Parts: sequence; C-alpha cells; structure tokens
Amino acid sequence: MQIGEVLTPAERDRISGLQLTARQVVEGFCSGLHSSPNKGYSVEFKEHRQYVQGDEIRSIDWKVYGKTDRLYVREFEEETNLRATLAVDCSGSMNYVGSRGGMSKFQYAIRLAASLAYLMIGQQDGVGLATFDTKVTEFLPPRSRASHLQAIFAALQRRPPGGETELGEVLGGLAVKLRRRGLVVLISDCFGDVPRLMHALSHFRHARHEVLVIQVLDPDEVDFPFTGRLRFRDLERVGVFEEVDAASLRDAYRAKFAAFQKELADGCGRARIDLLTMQTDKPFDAGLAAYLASRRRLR
Amino acid sequence: MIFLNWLLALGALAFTVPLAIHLLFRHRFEIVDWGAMRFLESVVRLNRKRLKLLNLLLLLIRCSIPILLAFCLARPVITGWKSLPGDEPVAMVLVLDTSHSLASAIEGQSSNRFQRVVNSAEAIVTALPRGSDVILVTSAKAGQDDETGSMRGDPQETLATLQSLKIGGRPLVLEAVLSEAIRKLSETTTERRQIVMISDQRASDFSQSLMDDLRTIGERVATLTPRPTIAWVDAWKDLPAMENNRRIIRLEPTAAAGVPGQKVLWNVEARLDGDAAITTSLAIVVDGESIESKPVEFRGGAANLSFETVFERPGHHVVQVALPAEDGFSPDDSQSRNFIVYPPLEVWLVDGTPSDKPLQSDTDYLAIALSPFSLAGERAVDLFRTVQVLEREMDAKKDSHPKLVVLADVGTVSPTTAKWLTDFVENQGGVLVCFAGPATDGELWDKQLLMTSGTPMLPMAWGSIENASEGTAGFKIDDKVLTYPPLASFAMEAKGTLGSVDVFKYRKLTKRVSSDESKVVMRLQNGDPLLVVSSVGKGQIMQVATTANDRWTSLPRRLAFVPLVQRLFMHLATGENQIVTPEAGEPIVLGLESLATSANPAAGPVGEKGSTTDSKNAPAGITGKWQVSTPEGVVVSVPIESNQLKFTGTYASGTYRFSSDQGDVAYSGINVPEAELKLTAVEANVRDDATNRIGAIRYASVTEYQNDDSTRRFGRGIWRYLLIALLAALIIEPFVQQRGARLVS
Repeated sequence: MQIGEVLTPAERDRISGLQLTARQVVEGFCSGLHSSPNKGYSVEFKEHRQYVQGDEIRSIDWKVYGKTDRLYVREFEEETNLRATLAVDCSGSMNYVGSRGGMSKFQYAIRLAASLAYLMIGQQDGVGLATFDTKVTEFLPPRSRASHLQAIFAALQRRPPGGETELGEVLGGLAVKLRRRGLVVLISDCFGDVPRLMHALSHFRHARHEVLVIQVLDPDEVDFPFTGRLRFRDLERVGVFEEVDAASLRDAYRAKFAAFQKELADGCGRARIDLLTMQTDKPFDAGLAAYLASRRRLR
Repeated sequence: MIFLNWLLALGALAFTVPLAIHLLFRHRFEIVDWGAMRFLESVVRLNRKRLKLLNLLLLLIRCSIPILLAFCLARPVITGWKSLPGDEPVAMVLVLDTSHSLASAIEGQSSNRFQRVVNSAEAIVTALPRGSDVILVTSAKAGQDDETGSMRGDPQETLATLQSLKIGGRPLVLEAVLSEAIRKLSETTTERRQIVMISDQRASDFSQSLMDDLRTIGERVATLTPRPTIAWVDAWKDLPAMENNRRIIRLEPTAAAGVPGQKVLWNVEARLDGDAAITTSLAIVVDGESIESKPVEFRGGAANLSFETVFERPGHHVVQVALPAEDGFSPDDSQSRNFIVYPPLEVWLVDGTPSDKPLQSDTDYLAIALSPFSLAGERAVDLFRTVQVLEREMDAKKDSHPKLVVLADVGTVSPTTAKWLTDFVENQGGVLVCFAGPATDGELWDKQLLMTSGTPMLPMAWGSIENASEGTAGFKIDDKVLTYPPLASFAMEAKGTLGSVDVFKYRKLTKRVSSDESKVVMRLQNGDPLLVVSSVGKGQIMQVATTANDRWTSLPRRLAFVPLVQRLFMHLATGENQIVTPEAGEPIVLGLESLATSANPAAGPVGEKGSTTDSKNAPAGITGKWQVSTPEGVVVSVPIESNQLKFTGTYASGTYRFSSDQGDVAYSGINVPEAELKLTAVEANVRDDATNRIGAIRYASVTEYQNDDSTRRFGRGIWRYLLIALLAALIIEPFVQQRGARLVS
C-alpha cells in the first residue's frame, strides 16, 4: 500500500503545510513539538526550586544564591514528541454513500486518518491506529518511523466496513491498551448511544489523554432529502429495513437527528473533548486545515 | 338484496384498482442502504401500528369508494328473507269508502276527500305489477246480492272504473266490505294477496257489534292460505272545517198522507254551525221540479219555516228542500220526504143498532174519526169517505166497491150478504172490520160468514161477554208491547196514550184450531185478545172484541182514537204504514196497492194519464214495463216481483222517477244516510283496536302505504344511504391521509 493510493499529491501538499500540536502535555520518547511532563535540559526555563540533597551541583543557580544567600536549582521544561492513536470506525453505517454521490463516510474517514498520520509522522510524532466495529479489529501502537505510515495505510485498507458497532464498549477496551498519555483521535459517525460513548471517552480523559472526536457525516443524514416510498435497509444489521413514506418522516427525522447532535456536542463540551463534524461533501483537507489552525490559535 | 340496475353493480369490481395499486406498490420500494437507522426506527416505531391501521383504513376507504358508487347507481334494495320478487303479480281487493261523508271539502283545496280516495286508489293500482288481479269493492254496494257489489279486472280496467266512480250509496259497513273482500280474495289463485282498504274512519262506522264482528273476520283472515295482508289507509287525515256549515235537520208534513187537492203543510228546520247571522234561500222541489224558493234567515244558529203543497194527482210524490251548496259539506244541505196521495177510500159503516141521536149509533165515533173534515162540509180532504149502509142494503150497493166494510155489533148477516162479503174479502182484496157488541151472535156468524173453503171467515170465534168487576174502572189495555206497525207509536214506551183507556165489557175471542193466519195485535192486560188481524185470500179481516162506540169502552172518547183509527184503517186499506223515505243504499219498494193508486186512481181523482176507474179497481198500471230515472240521469228497467216494484240501485240522493210504458208515474226520494252526516273521527284507541282485530296495518296516508308495500315487495331501497356513505368516504379519505401523515411525523 502506497500513500498515493490514499492521498492525492495535491492533498499531500496541502497537508504537509499543517501542524498538529497537542494542547496538553504528552509523553514521548524523543524531543519534539509538544510539552512533556518530564523536566530536563532544555532551552525552555520553567522554574526555580530549593536545593535538596542529591541535586546536581551544576544545576544550582549561583546568581540567585548571591542575591538571596539561599541555594536554588534551575529547572527546564522538556519538549517531547506526540503519541497519537487514530481510532477509525469500520462499522456498516460508515459505508453509507450519499444520494449525492461522492465517497462513502468510511472512505472519507480513511483519508482523514491517513492525512493525520501523514501529518504527524512528518513532524516526528508517533502515530498508532485502531480500527473497530464491534471490537477492535486492528491495533497498531504509535510509532514515529516513516515506515510505520505504510503499515497504517495497509491496515486502513485491509478491512472493508461492515457489521454493527458499539462505540462505548469498543473504546472502553481501547483505553486499556493506551498506557501513556497522548492524543486519541476518534473518527466515526458516532451513531450510537451518546451517554455510553461519553462514558467511554471519559476513560481516555481520566488517563490524561487528549481526545479529538471527528464525526463524519453524509449530508443525507443531516437533511434527509428523500421523498416517496423507500425501503431503508440497515447497513449494520442484515435483514433489517423500514418501509416508509420518506417525505412524511423528514421533519421528525431532522428533529431527532438535531437532538442527537446537540446531545453529542454537549457531552463533548462537558468532557472538554474537541468535536469536529465533517460532511463528506466538503473537502476533508480544508476542514482539517481550518480546525488545526483554530487549534493552534487556542493553544 | 336485489339491484334494480344490476349491470351497474358490476362497477363495484373497480374496487380492485386501488387494491391492486396497493398490493403492487406494497413491494415496490426504492431501496436505500441506510446507516442512521436508529433515528429512523425511533420515529417509525412510535406510530407503526397506528400507521398500519391507518393504511389499512385508507385502503378500505379507497376500495369502498368505487363499490359504493357502483352500488349507488345500481339501486340496491334490501328484501326480506321470504319476500317475493317485486314483479310478482298480486291479487288485490281494493276496498273503497265511497260514502257521502267523503264529500267534505279539503281545506284549501278544490277537491273533496272522495277525490283523494280515488286518487289514492289510482296511485295504488298504477303501481301494481303487470298481470295483477284487482277486485274493487265499494262501500256503497258491498254485501248486496247482485254482482254489482264488486268489480274484477286487471289494473287498467280498474283504473277506468275508478275514473267513473261516484260518491254515494250506503254507509261504510266494515263487516260487509271485509266479508266481501275475503270472499272475493278466496276465489283468486294468485299466491300474493292483499286487501287495501281506504276509508275515512269516522266514529259512526265503529260500533261495539262491529268490533265483535271484526274479531271474527280477523279469524277468517288468519285461516286463509297464503294469508293476505290487510292495509288500512286513512282517508280522513285532517278533520274537515265545519264552520258555517248549514244543514237541513227536519222536513215533515203535518199529515201522514194526503188526498188530491189537499193543502199539506210542511215544516222545515235548518241549523247553522256557529251563530253568524246568515240569510240564504231554500229551494223547494216537488217531484223533481223546483216550485218555489223561500228566504231563510238563520238566527242563533237555527231557522224554521213552513210551506204548503197541493197534490192534484194521487200517487207517490217527493218533496225536497235544499240550501245552496255553499259550505264545505253538501250532503246535509238537502233533504227529501216521500208523500203518498191517495184517492178517497170508501168505507161502509154497517151499524147493528142504528140511531138518529148523536153518537148513539155504533159507528158514529168511527165516522167522525175517519172523515172529520168531510162532516164539517169542507172540501173533501179526508182520506176516507164514510157511507152509512144497512146490512140488508149491502148486496144492493155492491157496485160502488168500497175499500173497507165495518160491521159494528151486527147480530148476523144474511146469506146473500155473507156471500158478497166472502167475495169482497177473498177475491177483491177488501177489508172487513168486525166490532163486537151485545147483539153479536157468534154462532150465527160462524154458520153464515164462511170462506169458500167452508171454514168460518172470522179469525176467532165470538165468545161470552166479559164484564169488569163492579167498583173497578174496567179492563186495561196492555200497551207495553205493540208491534203491529200502525199501533207501534201508541205503545207505552212511545206515547202511552192507550194506558188510560177502560174496557168495561168485551167478548172473549177464542182462537180456532184451523186459523193459522190470525194475529193478535192488541190484548188486554188479562191476556185476552182485543184486536185480531187475519189475512183472508187477497183481503184482510180485523176483529175487535169490544164495541166501536163508548158503550163498552172509553176509547172513542180518548184523544188517541182518531189517529188510532186513521192509522189502522190506512194500513189495512193501503198496506202502508208510516211513509218512510229510504236512505241511499236502501231499496225503494213500491207496493202493489201504492202503485195501484199511482197508476190507476180508481176511486176518484184523475191520474197523470187521465185514466178512469175500471170495473174491478185492479192495479192495471203496474202490469206494464217500468223503468226508473235516477238523480244521476241513469235510466234502468225495473222488474215487478211479488207485487212490488223494487229498485236497489239507490246510489245517489235525490228524486227517483218511476215511469211505465203506459204513462204511469211514481216518485220516491232518497236521503243521505243520517250516519253519514256525522263528521267525527273515531277515537284512536278504538281505531287501533279494530285494526288489530283484523290483523291489519294502518297507514296514515297512501304514500306511507306505498313505501311500506314497496319495502315489502321490493325491499328497502338503500341507495340514499350508500350515497351518503360515498360522500362520507370521499370526505374521510383525505382526512385519514392527512391524519396518517401527522401521526407518522
């Protein structure tokens, strides 16, 4: 699997100019763009603290001693690389292709994930991947090597979407696997029980992970443009369908969907989780760029 | 259920169109692979059941629309389980009330109730299926023996008959018309049979005896197989307005009969409903010709007036008075009265003990009673002309042909006289009246006065003289029961004028074994006969047990004596009693004797044709061919049967003119039956009881009957209900559709 099969050169060009930084401290193996919880030698002074026995003599700030006649040591903030894990939803609902054509939500999610992986590998951050439906089907721990990118791409393409999903349960299992704090990016349509989803995401938050939820939606799912007698066949459950007069359902559907979206946004807000909703009719790179730009400004 | 336009019912198959559309499109969905099913499910789940029901309801409504439309156009009719097809011929007896009471006008309309009856009958007959058998029975003629009592034919013939139907005849006799209807209906062979009766249902038509008869009729109807249905249609409906109705309630002559040239005074009494002061005129018609018009002024609702008539010709006459038919009910505006004018009847008074002194002879009182005016020297206006004759002179005077011979206390008669008397009574139809007395010798009478057969002529044998006890007033007459027609009005219940008469002496009358014709018409209170009448040959004999004068009885000095003698002798001489005027539906019977006086006025005045007296005083005129001209202008031949001229077709009121081919004429009037003049509706409970007794169904109008009959014959037309249902379906369909959409959302 080559990167060209996932991202076009133009997309790669646009992504390469982007920079994803963590909003909070993350733990990494090497120095990078992101703040580390560890203190070490760095150009970034952090604070003075009173000398205790065992501190290296060379860390004593003699200028302060000369002024105060007390021994203080200088501490510097360590900068480290980011360990990001991309959790991509591979359930059947992600396979929906809108009535307006274009790509499916899953294809859109692949591109998003690939873009983020490409972006972070490019800035020396470690990127891992977890694909799931009813359970985690693929898990690649975060690596910062360039060759790891190929493995991620291959894993994304390996499994076509299908089957049911229960985000709460799956993400709860994934949280156990991510021991070091980092960035968790969930790419999904989030069609599930919102309270359970938020409960699962809270596990990441308790583990000091930063969580970014990228909700991928098809515009049909938002405005429900259907008319006439339609049989809606469930993409997740085989043999389940609903025969409806679509036009008569539109208003009720929209109301129901809006309520869901509000519940999801409120839940993310309360958990201090970034929620980025993207529709498949919009270029994913533009949306991603706009989000990252706003993220940097807020840092 | 049947369809009047059954081909259109096939249009109901159009219901398959929405059904097919439903079934075809049921599985014809555009499939969408959908991810956000959870939102769709939550929306659909809530209303899925209701949606299915609504869809089913919508399908039913859409299917029902073409069905309802097709059925509506096909005119469906719900029929009873056992009902026959509507075009099955019917045997119907149509009983119509044609009595005079239906002449009352309908308020606000030009027609009267009779016209409404006819129109109703026409509507019923017109609606009958082809091939039906209609028997028309009218109240005017029902129960009569002749075949004119009913008419049988097909509906078209019946319609033609109805067109010519006229009001009149006898009152409605429910028992008679229903019996006639059942009898006629039982002669039919059609399976479906009906009796439809249209009457005005007045109170006078319902008596208690009728109610008993109706129960019997109901039982008879129940035995008929198949049982006919009886429909009773009320033609009365609304009470006629009787304000300002004028009516003649009495027309009476002051004399029971008259003689030519006699002035007869007539009294008329008229009434007006309400107390309005109205002046109108009264037309006086004699023998069908108007002779005078007198003004009538109603005051306090009543008017009385008198007029005189003079009949120059003996015979049957009719006097009719009539008010202008300006009110809503004409039958009571006129009234007729028959009147007979006799030629003077010669009576021989044979006195057993003649005397020159006043009132001492046996026959003096009789002479006064029989011809009071003649004795006063006035113009001969008495019905009887009395001639005093001695017993020994009778044979010599026999050519003068007396009508009556009175033997008062005649001891015995000579053989010559006895022979003449036998011929006089037996062959000439003469009347012999024998009064008892002290001189009467019963044995000699029985030996000499014999019939041609040899048996004694007198109905009873003279017996011994019975004397009243001393100190008592005398024997009393039993006036409790007096059934002999001329005596009926003297009965105690009527006038009681004979109760004070004393009979001091009388000869006991003993009935002979061979005398079967004798009839005791008056008795004493002790049971002994006082007056005996017997028919002998063509004539009659009256035997009186006491004297003709006041020697043995106080009767000649009583007020009742004159009318008693007048009526007795008139009855014996003419066969007439009180002259009655028949009512419509009753026969006109003119007796032989009456016709003789009309056709051949033997004893004096000249008849219409001016014939003279023949030698035998025989009723020669009645031997010709007679015909009658009715008030409706119909001329009908009238046969002579049993010495009587009898005509039963008295349908209309008015004057009937009888005439023979020999120029003889007689008149008789016909009045509207008195019961027909009482316009009072029967009480509802009585009417309903009568209806139940005969198992009939009562209808307030012919329309109501026709609707019910249509239901019974054809079933109940339900297209209107289907139309309503169709409109409802058309209205409900979009509503349900909208409702379904609203439920879903």
